[in-house]
Amino acid sequence: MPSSGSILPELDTDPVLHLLLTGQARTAAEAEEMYLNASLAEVLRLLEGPLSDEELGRHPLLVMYRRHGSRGWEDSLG
Amino acid sequence: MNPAHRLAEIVTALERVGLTVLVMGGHAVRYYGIDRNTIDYDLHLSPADWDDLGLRLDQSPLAAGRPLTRGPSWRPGSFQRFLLGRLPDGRDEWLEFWRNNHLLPPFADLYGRREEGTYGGRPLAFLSLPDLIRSKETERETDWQDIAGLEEIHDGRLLHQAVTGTISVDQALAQLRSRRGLESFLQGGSLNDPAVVRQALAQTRLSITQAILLPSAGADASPPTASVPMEPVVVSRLRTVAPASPLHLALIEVVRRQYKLAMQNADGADKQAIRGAQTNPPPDNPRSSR
Repeated sequence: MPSSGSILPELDTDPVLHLLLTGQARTAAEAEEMYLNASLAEVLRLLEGPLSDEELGRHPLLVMYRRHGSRGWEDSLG
Repeated sequence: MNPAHRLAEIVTALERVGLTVLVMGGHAVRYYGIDRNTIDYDLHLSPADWDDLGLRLDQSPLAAGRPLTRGPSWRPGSFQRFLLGRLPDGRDEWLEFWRNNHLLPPFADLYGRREEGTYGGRPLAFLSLPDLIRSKETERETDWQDIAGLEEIHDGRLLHQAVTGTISVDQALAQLRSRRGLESFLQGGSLNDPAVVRQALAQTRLSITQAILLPSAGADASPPTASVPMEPVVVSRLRTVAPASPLHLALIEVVRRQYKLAMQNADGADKQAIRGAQTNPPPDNPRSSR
């Protein structure tokens, strides 16, 4: 859980960074995987909110789900 | 000798003593097209051959005149492993047999839909690609990495089969699992007819496939209850989102992750139950004093 009054404010607002800097994850990729595994409730909250499909598609959490998921054909061009 | 030829040599030796096997595990993954290293030989054995497996192995060319060393197994009624020897790099070379895998249907079903192909210089029988994918839905992260590649390969095959008429479009759509599969079928126009997509939807209880198909099935489409059900709010949004839009693709991955976690938890719980039973056998078990 994020701690309040951190020296680094990002620790309180960035859950992925929090996992990394508190030693719960060894790499950024691992931290993002852990975060995504724990974020279903947040996704449901977003879906029930006022954001449009386009806005949801651009939301950082949902962008992260796509980035960590099944590859699209454009990935083969990289 | 390379690993593929070694496997072929092993299967030939097994056949000489009347053993019927299906190749699974790492060599099956290689056969279907993913380049990865494996030093174990994972085979599914016909149950009819289980009881005297050790005896027959000792009579086979693999034993070279001395009994093979049995390795530890925490599913002794379902899984046995035998030490064949040492590889040139010093690692052990294991031969592993499943009698019944907790993730798979009976051997007869698996054998009936096996795929036969050349590997290591001779024809071998492999778990079908869908069965291989199912066999890897374990708690191990590396198995899910294999699944990601195997899904793409399978969807590519489905596209070819649908285009050539080997299977119907709805049968192909009913098995989709990958994003590349969705994009390929979408580009080919196979998702344009909601009636066809609804036919496909009615054939699958896999939430990942349902998430892929729902946006193209029409707003009133009602899929069967999935084996790992999707959240109602996710289903509602999938009914209205544009196919292959950024939100659709994200929701597919949300559903995929939920499915993966459920399968990992189920496999872990199964292993815990077995280990618990071995540590604390029931009090009326006459062998509990071991």
